[in-house]
This record gives sequence, C-alpha cells and structure tokens, in this order.
Amino acid sequence: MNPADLNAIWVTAQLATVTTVVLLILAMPLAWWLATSQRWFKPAVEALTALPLVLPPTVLGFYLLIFLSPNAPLGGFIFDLTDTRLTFSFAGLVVASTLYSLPFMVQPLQLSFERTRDPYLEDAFVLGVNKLSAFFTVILPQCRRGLLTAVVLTFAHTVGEFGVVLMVGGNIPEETRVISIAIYEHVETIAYAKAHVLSGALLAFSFLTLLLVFVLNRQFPMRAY
Amino acid sequence: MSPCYAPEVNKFRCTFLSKIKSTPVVFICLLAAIHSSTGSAGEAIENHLAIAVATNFVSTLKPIAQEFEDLTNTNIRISSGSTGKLYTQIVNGMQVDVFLSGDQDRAIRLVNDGMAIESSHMTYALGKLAYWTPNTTRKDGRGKNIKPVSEVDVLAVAEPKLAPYGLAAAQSIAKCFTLENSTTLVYGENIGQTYAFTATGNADAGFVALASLLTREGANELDYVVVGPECHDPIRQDAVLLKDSMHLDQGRRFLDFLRSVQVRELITQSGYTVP
Repeated sequence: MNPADLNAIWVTAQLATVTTVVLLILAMPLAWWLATSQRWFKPAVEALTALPLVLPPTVLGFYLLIFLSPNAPLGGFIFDLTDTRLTFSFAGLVVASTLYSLPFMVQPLQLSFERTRDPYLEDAFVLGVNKLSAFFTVILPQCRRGLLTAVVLTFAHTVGEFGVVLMVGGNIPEETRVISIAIYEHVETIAYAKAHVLSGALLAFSFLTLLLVFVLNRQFPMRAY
Repeated sequence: MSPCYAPEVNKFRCTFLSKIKSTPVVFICLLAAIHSSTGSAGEAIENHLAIAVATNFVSTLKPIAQEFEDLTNTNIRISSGSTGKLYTQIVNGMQVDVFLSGDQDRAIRLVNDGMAIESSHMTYALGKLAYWTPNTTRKDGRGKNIKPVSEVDVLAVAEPKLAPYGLAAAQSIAKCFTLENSTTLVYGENIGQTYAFTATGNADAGFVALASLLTREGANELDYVVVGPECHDPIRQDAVLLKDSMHLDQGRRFLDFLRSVQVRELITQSGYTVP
C-alpha cells in the first residue's frame, strides 16, 4: 500500500475515533432525555435526530457548505472567533460526521435507556445516590449492550462515510482525504488494483466490526426482567 | 452500512414504519401524478439514442439534443456523470450509443479497449478555464473585481488527477500565476464542485469552467478572467460512438450534427472553443 493510502487510513481512523468520542458525550444526555421525557415536542426532537438516516448525504453536505461558509452568519462567526474554516478542515469533518452519525449513537442508547428497570434506580435514590452517579452506576451498566452497539455502529458508520466528506472535505491529503475518497479517486482514475486493496480492507473491517457486535451480544444476553 | 444490523435500530424502524399506515395510498397518488405529467407523448417516436455525457457539458448538450430530437424524430436519453465514472460504467456494460467525454484520455481508452469505433473519434469542444473571485469588491485598473491569486487564502481547483480542468488549473498555476505559500489549495472532485466551493464563499477564489460562469444566474463579466490558452494544454473533450450500439446510424448522424455550423456556434457561445 502506498503512503497516500496509508495516510487516508490514518485520517479515517482519527476521524472515526474523534467523532465517536464527541458523539458519546453529546448523545448520552440527549438519548437520556428522549428516553425519559414526556414533553409534547419530544417527537419533533426524535424526528430531527433521525433525519440523517433518511436524508441523502448530499443534502447535509450542501447545507454544511452553505452554513459553514465564512460568508454565512454561522461560518463567519466561527471564522472570526477561531480564525479557522470549518470547511476543508479536519475539524469541519468532525462537525459533519457528528451530525451524520448522530442517530447511530442516539437510537441504540435511547432504546436501551427505555428498557432499564426503574426499581434499581429507585433503590439507588433510596440509598442516597445522587442522580449523576446513579446514572453511571445503575443505568449505564444495564445498558452496556446498547452502549456497545452505539459506539461500534457510530465508529463504523463514520469510517464508511462518503457523500458528506466529498462535499465539504476538499480532498486535502493528511487532512480530509479519507479512505472512501481515496477509493473513489482510484476508481475514477482507473487504478483498480489500488481500489481493490482499499475496498477489500474496508469490506473486511466492516464485516469484522459487525461480527464483533453480534458475538458480544451473544456473550452478554439481555436479561429477562 | 445499514442500521438493520442493530436490533435496537431495527426496532426503531419497525415502529417508525408502522406509524405511516397510509404509505401505499400516498405512493399510488404520487405515481399517478408522475405518470400524468410525463405520459403525454405526441407523435410516435421512431429513433432512439442514448448519450453519456461529462457533467460539465450537459447543460450545453440539452438544447443541442432537443434540436436533434425535433429534426430527426429521435428520443434521446442523456446520462451525465463524471468522465471517469461514465467510463467505468461503459466498460462494465452500460448501454449507451454515444460517449461525450470530458477529456481526451477516456475516449481514446475506449477505442484502445476495442469498445468504441476508432473512425468516430472526434474532439467536439475545447474547454476554457476561468479564474473567478465572486466575493470580492476589490477593483483592478480595468474595472474588474478581481482579487489577485497572491492575496487569496483558500483557492479551489478541481482535482488534477480526476478532472481535465483541474490539470489545466495546475498547469496554469505553475506557468502563469504566482501562488503564495500561505495559500491553501482545496480540491473539488470535479469542476462543478469546485464551482460550488467558490460560489458559496468557502473558497475565496477558484479555477472553474468558463461554461459554468456563463450559465449562472446574474452572470457578470466583472468577477472573472479567462485564463489564456498559452497557460495550459488544451482541454480537449472528445466523443466516440460505442461498438455495441444498436443505433449506429443515428449515432453517426448525431456526431455529424455536433460538427455542423449551427451547433459549433452554440458550443462557442456556451464558453468553449471548437476545433
């Protein structure tokens, strides 16, 4: 494998890792709120969260290009504040991937939060545990399956991202050139041998990732409460 | 990757779908609407022609194809895409009669692959490159609002490996423009995307196709300069007729039509030169 492709793999691994960590932090409270809230606007928030599942990446990419532009209010604000552009940069890809992979993190978490058994939580409160530590000591251990699914799917989905990155990445080596873009370029330039190497690697990676999810799901079966 | 693999997500899908109970009704209404809007053909169509065209030329091709359809009672189906993608699709069995490549290389390759008819190979247009700074108010001596390349922070070009306009841009930068080390180059996968990077202000300036600038809304001549042909190799766009075509005669007639005076005139007005 040539250095450029190895670089693409490295950028992709970094992007998927950062995105997964960022999403884990952002999506956990959101998923908890969605699992427990009775507010009338909850369905609207659920729908918003699920949008990236049904929207073509081109729509997200197009809007990001418009809104993150230094000429746009949002992009201009960020540009003035930090002197960085969110398009054509690694930071921009993290923003795009966070939006794009949001449902893959939120939904498994939300569903397993909804299935947690309240009595344990009540026991914890009775024992005087505060809410935050009750969440980490009582809820999360019950939801490890959902957590695992969410993390693995988010990571893998970010690795497999293409359309959004193509639109806002700018194909800059060592910065925004990810595996899927590299494959695209190899196919377009008729370098099929190189495309085969990367595609095969991605196929094997994706299969092994999913295999891991299913094997671990068997190891930790859901308890019948 | 499909979300179906996760039981949690699957459950979401099921509940989501079960909520849309009237889906079939909506779908049928939609189909009926589409059918009624497209289903009214006048006279019977005798001839058919399938054309694969590089995206940069598709807006120029449409009026030409319309004219040809009317003249010869032909139904033309246009598939547009990047030249590399179309080439791959054709090699892998996509049925088209005429290939209007965005470069010279893929057309020659199809001839060498034995898939295209050598005698049909022709250059139908030569692309013109333009340097475009749409979001500047700066005026130069000749009344144009052009920001010099040396003052640009982010410059958009098409990826030289993928797009002929990108190669021309790279050659032009090397030969006719002075680039500062601080300038960041960003690469669109094709010339249309490079246009979008520049138009949305994400890049300060871009090397784009003159043809794109002429077709935009609110076109003005003040915010771009055409890059001289001495700065880069000619951007030849070549056409070939595919050997497997079922409509060889009609395909030849179309290629002849592309060489006609009126079509060459139209191609020139659209921001190309003709051989």
